[in-house]
Amino acid sequence: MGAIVLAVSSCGSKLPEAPAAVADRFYHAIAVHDAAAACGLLGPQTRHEVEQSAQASCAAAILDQDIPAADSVVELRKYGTHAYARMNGDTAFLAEFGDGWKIVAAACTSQDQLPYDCKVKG
Amino acid sequence: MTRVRGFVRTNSLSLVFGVLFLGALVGQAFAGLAEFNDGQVADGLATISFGRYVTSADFAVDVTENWQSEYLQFLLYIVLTVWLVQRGSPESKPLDQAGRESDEDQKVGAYAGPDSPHWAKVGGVRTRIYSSSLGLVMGAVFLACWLVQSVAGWSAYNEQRLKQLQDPQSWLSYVGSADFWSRSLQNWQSELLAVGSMAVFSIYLRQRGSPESKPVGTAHDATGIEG
Repeated sequence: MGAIVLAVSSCGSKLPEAPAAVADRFYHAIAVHDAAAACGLLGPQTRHEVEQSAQASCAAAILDQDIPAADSVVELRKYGTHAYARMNGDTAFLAEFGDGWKIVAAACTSQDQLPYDCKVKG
Repeated sequence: MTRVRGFVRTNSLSLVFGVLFLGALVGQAFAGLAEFNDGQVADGLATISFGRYVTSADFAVDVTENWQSEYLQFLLYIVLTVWLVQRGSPESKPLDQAGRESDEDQKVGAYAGPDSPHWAKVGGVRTRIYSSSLGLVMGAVFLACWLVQSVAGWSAYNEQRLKQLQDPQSWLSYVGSADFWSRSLQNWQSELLAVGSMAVFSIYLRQRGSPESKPVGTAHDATGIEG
């Protein structure tokens, strides 16, 4: 119920799901160094946390967060207001806000049973 | 008007329970929405609408975990009271009538009366099915609700896991998880306590006029007598 599991082959099938499109746009913005676009795709808490930890604007700090290059969504899972996007190169977590899906955590490394260790999170 | 009044009076038990059920369900929806949105605000996330909440896994699991346990409770009560008795309880059959009883006692087949239900008269498979139809339907509703609980609970549980930056789990992992069994068992224990204690309390206590009680002046050891 409410769970959508999409496994996508590495040939890059187009995903209609909003969270996948947001994840794609975010990593594309990081890849082309479009800091403003990347920041616009972050959730408010996450953006605030980036600014707090860097003591700088999000646009000035986001490209220095060691977010790995990632180019396509390999697996997307959506449950209610939260989603997880496993990218070819990184894992990101998303949440649904009034103005659409936003990245709430990125540059995440799996820690088995523990929560992912994410360099960018809210 | 008189016909409507007559219908309401002769169906007042199911009508009142239906209205109370809907009122409680709507109340649960509003309270659940407020609780869900409190959590969202505390986590810096967006609140959701009433419509979104009542179609969410969070609401569905909270509703169905209670529904399944109620149907399980009545299924067990209906089926176990065929064979199990309780001395002094109006919820029990007389002590010497444990079991499925004779066709004559149950008015089936050749012993059916002119006003007996058709499937009670015809014999064969249909009478066998009809003879267990109450338990079969209660059991089917229990299993359906428990299945929906497992799917909705899985989705709500994974939503929480994603919120905590954890990997989502498969449905099979979820049905073996502490969350699924905690939700199920906490409901089962309360239903079993309520129905078991009613069977025992009704040995010694009375509710004048209620068919769930013995008549007030009936002896404590009188079994299978309803008021």
